[in-house]
Amino acid sequence: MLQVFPFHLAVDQDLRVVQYGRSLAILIPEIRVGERIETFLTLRRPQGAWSEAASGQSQELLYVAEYVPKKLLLRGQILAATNESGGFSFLCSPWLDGPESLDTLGLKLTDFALHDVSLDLIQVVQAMRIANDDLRQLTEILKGHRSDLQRVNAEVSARNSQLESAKRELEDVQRVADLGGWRYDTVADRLECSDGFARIFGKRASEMGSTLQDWLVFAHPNDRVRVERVIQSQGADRLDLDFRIVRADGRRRYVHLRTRPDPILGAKAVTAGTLQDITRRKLAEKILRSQRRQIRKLALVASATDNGVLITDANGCIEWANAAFRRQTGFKAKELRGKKPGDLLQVPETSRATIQYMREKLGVGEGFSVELLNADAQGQRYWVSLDVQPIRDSGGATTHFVSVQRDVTETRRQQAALERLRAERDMILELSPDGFLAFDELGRHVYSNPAAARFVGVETRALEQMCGSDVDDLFARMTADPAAFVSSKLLADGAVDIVQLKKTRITLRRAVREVRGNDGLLRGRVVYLRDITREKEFDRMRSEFLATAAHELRTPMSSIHGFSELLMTRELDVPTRREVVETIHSQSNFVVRMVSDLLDLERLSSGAASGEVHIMPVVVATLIQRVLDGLMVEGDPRRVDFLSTADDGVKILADADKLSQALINLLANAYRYSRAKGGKIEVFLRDRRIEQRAQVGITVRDYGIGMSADQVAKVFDRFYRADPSNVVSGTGLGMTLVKEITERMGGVVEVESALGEGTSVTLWLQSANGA
Amino acid sequence: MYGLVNKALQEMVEKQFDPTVWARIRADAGVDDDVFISLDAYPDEITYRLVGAVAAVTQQEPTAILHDFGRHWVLDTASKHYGHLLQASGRTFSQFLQALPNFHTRVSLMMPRLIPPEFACDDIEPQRMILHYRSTRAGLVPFVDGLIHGLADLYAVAVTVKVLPERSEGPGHTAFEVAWLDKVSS
Repeated sequence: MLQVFPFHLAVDQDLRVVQYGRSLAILIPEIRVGERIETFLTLRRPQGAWSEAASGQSQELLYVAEYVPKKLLLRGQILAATNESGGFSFLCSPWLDGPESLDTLGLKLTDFALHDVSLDLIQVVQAMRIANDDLRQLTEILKGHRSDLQRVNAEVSARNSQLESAKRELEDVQRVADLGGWRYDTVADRLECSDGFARIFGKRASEMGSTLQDWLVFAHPNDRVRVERVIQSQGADRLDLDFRIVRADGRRRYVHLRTRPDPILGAKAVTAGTLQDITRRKLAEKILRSQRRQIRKLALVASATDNGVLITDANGCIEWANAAFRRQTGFKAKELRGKKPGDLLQVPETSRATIQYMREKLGVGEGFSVELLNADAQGQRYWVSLDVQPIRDSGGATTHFVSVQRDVTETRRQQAALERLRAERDMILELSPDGFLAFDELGRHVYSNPAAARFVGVETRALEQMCGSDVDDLFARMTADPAAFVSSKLLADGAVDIVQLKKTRITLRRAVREVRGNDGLLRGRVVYLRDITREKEFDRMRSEFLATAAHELRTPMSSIHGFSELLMTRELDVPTRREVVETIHSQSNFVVRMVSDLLDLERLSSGAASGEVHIMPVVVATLIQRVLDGLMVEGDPRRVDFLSTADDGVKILADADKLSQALINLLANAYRYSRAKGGKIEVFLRDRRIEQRAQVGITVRDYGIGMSADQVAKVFDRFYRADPSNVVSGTGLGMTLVKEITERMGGVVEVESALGEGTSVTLWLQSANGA
Repeated sequence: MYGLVNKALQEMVEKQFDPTVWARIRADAGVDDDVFISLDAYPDEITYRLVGAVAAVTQQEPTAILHDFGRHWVLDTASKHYGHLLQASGRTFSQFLQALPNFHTRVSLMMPRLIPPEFACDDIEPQRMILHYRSTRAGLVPFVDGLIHGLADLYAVAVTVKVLPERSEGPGHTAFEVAWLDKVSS
């Protein structure tokens, strides 16, 4: 019992332990004989008390008890005692969850009865765990495989996608290129073709038949024999063959058949190739041949012209140059070919802007025309007028440039000379005081110079913008009688007239000249306008002067003539004759003085050498005193008071001789016109500033008969005399001379006078003592 | 043999060599199986071919391979899969050897196609015994020798194993004299 049931437990009728197995003591260390069973084992199933276990029915039940401290379940059966002492035996073994339970419970295999299946159960559990481990390993491997498969599938999908894309691209390329592919099994005489191949024949691939003959029937009847012969003779392993086909719709097309041996299978077994519709290429070649013929004709023309003609490729490299170009540049044909014209012909002086412009135009394939400076092979500079035009193919792409160049060196020289002449002419006209108006052959206004504009009081630009009739209208409006104005275009060639412009008070002499070319045809008209206002005034003044001078001279000359005649015709006594001779002498003195004054005046006005003024600093007080000393003689009844100033060193800018002459004239006038009233004369100096410049005034004052305002206004006129009664002698030229002399020295003359009170004349001259 | 054996052989090779070596061995042996099912029975020939290929690839004697495999079986395979049972099989090296007969009897029940070897012990002394090994498979004596040495390592004893040809009862039977000395007591 002890060996067979090492975990058994036997109790008496009081449920006290009477015997237990050796292995049960390992599990329940506190088990002792005599202890009640429930002190260490709690009955779990069936429900009830250990006391009921002795009943006969209990032997049919599986009992489970727990050793609570270790939560250990013991399962087994009850065997009731057969002796009188009663009680029962609990034949059990521990419930093991797995092999590790052995370790937990401290059991060895030898602690179990050999018949106990617990150990077998543990091994089954362990086997299951091993199987589970295998399963997990397999699962992991499967997951790995699945991951690999997914990756491979993804790669395959990607490659399929790439393949599909490549296939589509190939189809697109074939469609664009009118290209089709085919494979031919020479042994089986089986042909496979792509959709592109069939499309060239106007069919679908499925309609193309499967043998060589099936599609050879589409070959043009005139080409079919040749195609068959070539294929048969060369075995179709390496062909490049052009021929014609007749499509299903009857249209004829040129095709190119191309085959190459299969690098893997070899030509003998399978031939692969392409078929391309080259109809458009053939047509293009035909057009090209036609164009070449045309170009050859043009080349003949280019060869014959004197202009340099150059043909370059699209990159600007010379392909051909005509003889004239070679003559112009001095380069030989072989020196030109393949070169860029700019590299050969352009020099540092060539305009960079023009070169840049040409490059930009060439870059975009556009034509242009320029003039630029080149140098020939000997470095001689010359100007060319260059016209470059692109030549394009049917697709619009630039294939060549044609350049035509003309030597314009002489033209430019002439043009430059012409421009210089024109500029000079314009300058002359700009500076000319005379006006010029130019009209074209239709009467349109084309040019006016500033003088012409000035005459009518408008800006030159404004006048230039007027048409011909407006210019005429403008001039007409300026005249006193516009209706009488004759339009310039109505005047005959060479006609001259006078135009009085009322508004600007200008008198113009107008002359009209026609402009005619070498062919005699009218090119336009030029109107010449000369301002003769001053000329007219001078004429008037001269006439007036001559009349006055003649009048002034006639009186003394008549007197001289009459008295001299009296002396010749009559015998006069000595006193009378003396009186007559004195009269003649007096009148002749008058004439001499008048002629002398006229000569002085003329010298000053005409700018003759003797009339020139020599201005220098002059001590004015000294000069006045010297003049007075020269005039006054011992016992002279005339009385002149020189009211010298404190500053006797005042200097003026003047010509001492001319100033002395002017002062003498002033002093003589002062004495003549004041003699009757005592002849008192005062001379004194004044000063003033005009426009920041210091002036010194020399005033000669008398207390004689004086002048009215009207007389003062005329005092500088030639031959004017304040005493028309001729009581006071004089030529009437003195004040004119004074004014002329003073103004020539840069000064002015001021006259203040009052009738009956005397006259004060001041010569204002520039001070030499600084500003 | 059960797949567990082939799998253990694979684990031993992969433990010592580069993982690609096993692939070569498998290829040399002509074995297609990527994975061995532990509790499935495989032809013994596969195991023999694999052992031969391991020897060829690793350039070792088959007997040395089998010896190492016996030690690996105890110290790695059995310890991993039957660790608790192994420990429960005996409190001492001697007890374990004596439990071998019953252990293999139980295994034969669980794995009916295994045809496990039979062990028996006699002349049992405190530090020596005769271990009888009976098997229908030839050439596995070095494997058993490796097993015993592996067990000695497990129980921390120094062991000597000697085949006793004079005690052989014929083909399939080998008698080992197993003597040991407790390393701690020594």
